[in-house]
Amino acid sequence: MAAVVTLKNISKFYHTENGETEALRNVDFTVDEKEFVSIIGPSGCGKSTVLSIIAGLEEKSGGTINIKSKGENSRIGYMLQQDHLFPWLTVRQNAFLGLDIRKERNFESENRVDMLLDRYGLNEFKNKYPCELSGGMRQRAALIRTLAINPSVLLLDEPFSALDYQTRLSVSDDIHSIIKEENKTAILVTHDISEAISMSDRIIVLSKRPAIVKNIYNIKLSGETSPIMRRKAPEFSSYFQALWEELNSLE
Amino acid sequence: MSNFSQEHLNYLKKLKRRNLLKTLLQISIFVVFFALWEIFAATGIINSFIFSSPSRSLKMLGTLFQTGLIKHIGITLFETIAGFLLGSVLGFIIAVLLWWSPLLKDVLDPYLVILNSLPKIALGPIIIVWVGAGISSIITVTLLISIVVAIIGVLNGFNEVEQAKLTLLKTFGATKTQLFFKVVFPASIPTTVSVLKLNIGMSWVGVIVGEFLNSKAGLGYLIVYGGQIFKMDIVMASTLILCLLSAVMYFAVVSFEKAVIKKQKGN
Repeated sequence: MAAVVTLKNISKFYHTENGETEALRNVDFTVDEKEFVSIIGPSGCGKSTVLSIIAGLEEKSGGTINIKSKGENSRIGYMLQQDHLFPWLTVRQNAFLGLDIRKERNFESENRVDMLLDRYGLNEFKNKYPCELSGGMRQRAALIRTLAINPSVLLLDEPFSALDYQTRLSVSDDIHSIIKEENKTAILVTHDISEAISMSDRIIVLSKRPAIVKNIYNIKLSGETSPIMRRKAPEFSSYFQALWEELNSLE
Repeated sequence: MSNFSQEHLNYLKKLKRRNLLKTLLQISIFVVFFALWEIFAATGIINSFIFSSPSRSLKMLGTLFQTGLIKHIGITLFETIAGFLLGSVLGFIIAVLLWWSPLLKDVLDPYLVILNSLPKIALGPIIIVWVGAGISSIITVTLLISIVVAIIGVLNGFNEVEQAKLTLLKTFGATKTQLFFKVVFPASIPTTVSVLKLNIGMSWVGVIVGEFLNSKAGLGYLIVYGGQIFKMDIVMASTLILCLLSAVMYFAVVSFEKAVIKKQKGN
């Protein structure tokens, strides 16, 4: 399979008046097409920095990034910790936000978004305002807003951390199935080991600051289906054990 | 309605009764105040030459109406609205510029702080000399008072917009103009409107004090004039009109605010 995202020797320094902090040191990894990769690591290790750099929100200090996509220019979809739907816009208008900004709103793209809203059960809510939606539906609307620009890579920065546990399980199931159905490549940053195992094909473990890639786990769960079902797989607990020990040794 | 339990109906009844009581008490304070004032003046407990009385003030209102009260009201209203609008609009524009350029904001910050703490009325004599006595200097004082409030309040609103919302737009590749029109402005509409509400009050202060300093017409002029010739009836009558006008204007802005916030929250 072809690598969609390639990071080579990425380094990052943060500068303040009081000095500089080395956040990333030679971070190297690739993500293949349609792969779901999670990044975990001790808190404050720079997991989110990696995403920000891939998304171009922050400058890298060194190294190279390559993002490939079929034909058109590479597009990145970013999902944040909260849905951040704008309360003054309807669900449909929120979903068009990215297209409006990129000035790509036309008959075809509007159709695509309407189809996404329809396919993922938001059709009857599309002219409602976000305050009328449940937490799960809001997160789904946020994902559709991200998918609307047709990104080649989805970056998920702890997108479920603001939800309560019950909702979190069902929403991650939901989002995972949508990402798979739309054949998207995804990189998830999380601090939740179970979440990482249940959703990913591969898990990248970062060390504490300055972060380097400590280990990469290929996750193979028998009879894998949805994230909730995957949590029941016999291999789940041994992966959990291994990752738990790995992370503990890093603290 | 009929589906509610007895307990809920009782609760609603209690709520209604409390609201009724509140309104009754509010009205009685008003009635008792003016009744006592009238009685005390009529019985000579207070000197109606110094304290006037509701009936004397009302009679004076009638007289004033025949001698151009409407003109005085018109001038004061015009000055207030003009000063308020100019100050708010210019203040808003400057706030946008300061949001646009953080460097400019940092550079001008100490000047803004000083301008904000300075009692603008102190500039009254300078302004009278520079722009001339009368309406133009009163509007200028009012503008000066409301512009600083507008700049600081509106800019605070802009800067309080959640950083994550800006990040979200940047992930779509938004330009600074898009950031402003798509998030910063719409998200800060409630704070902007509450700054306007504050500014209405500031503008009244500016206009009345401005009219105290120098004017040939207006409610502030009538109040000062009444004081100088010791006609407390004129002072009281004008003050009552002023109360009424500022209340009307305040409630107009509050209902505008309610409408805006309702729209903000969706539906």
